[in-house]
Amino acid sequence: MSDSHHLPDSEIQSLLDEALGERAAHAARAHLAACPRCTLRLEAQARLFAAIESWEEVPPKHNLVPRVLSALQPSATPVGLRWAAVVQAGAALLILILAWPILAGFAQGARLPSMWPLASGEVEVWLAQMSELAASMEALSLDMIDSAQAWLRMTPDWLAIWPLVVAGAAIAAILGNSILLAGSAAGPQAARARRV
Amino acid sequence: MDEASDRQLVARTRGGEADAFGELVRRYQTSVYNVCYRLLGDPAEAEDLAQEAFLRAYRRLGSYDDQRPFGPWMRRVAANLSLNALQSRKAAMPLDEEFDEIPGSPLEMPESSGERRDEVERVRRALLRLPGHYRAVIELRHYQDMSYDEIAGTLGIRPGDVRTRLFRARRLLADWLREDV
Repeated sequence: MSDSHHLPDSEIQSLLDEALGERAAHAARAHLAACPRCTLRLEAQARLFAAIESWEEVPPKHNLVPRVLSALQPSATPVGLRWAAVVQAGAALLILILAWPILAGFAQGARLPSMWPLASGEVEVWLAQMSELAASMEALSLDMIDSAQAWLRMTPDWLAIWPLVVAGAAIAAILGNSILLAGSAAGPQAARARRV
Repeated sequence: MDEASDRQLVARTRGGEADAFGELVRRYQTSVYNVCYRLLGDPAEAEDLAQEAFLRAYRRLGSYDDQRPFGPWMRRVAANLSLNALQSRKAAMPLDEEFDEIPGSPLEMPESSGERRDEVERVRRALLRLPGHYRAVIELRHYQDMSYDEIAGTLGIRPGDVRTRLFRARRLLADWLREDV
């Protein structure tokens, strides 16, 4: 049998892949039955196929179960962060009430324009007041300092430390939020990004 | 107590039990990871894609026909996702090889367990060395058991091109396995 009559490897592979048409497959099998050389090549191809499929599965380095389940969790705000927000809102309201004498004093000393003209549609009047305020900013600043000093003189010593209390509370709030946000970033939402 | 079947776990997942899906992940994470690993060739990327495949499967569980086995469907989801990742890499190798016979002597399979382990490792290295578009056809034909037409549909190429790519990929593999990659 001449080489030109042997089956090409591509056809042998298609036969093994069961991708030859019925007639072509029948002809190829008939040829193989009579041709030891092509039968050897068919066996070689079958061994190659077996080698390709001999891949031994390796497990992933990290267990995917917790990662997948974490990613499936609904994206909820952590409980700690929710409570912190409530506490902070309450604290802010309390501080505002307690600090109102200071704020009112500043507003009075600074002669801040009333909001009534704006509310009643007299925008031009309000703008004129704002313009006056801007023009006398330096004098107003001095007035505000005087007003603050007057307030401090009037108040008992223990109340005079209020600015420090407010500043301390603000710093504590910022730090607390940072810690809580860092904790939540390491929680469910970040689970997909990190490897458990 | 008998282990729940995949179908039962799918039904429980559809009913809102995330833990049931966790059991499916536990069962199939290795095979799904290996699909991604074979196609992508990078263990870390394969883990990320395997996780993404499970999440995608979870979201598409409504369209899954539970009369069919879960494993092959899940692996196909992983294969499609990995193929998209491969495509986005745009790692293409010129298809200029000749379409001829595999040269050399027939491939001999080793006998002893040590030789067998070496052979497995050589096959692994050879498969991962293949260009992406060849790995894709090998994966879909040999591991996903797809027909030429199915592979063509999945990759958006003609069945004739599937045949050509498979032949060239196998020829490269045969060469590398023979010369010890």
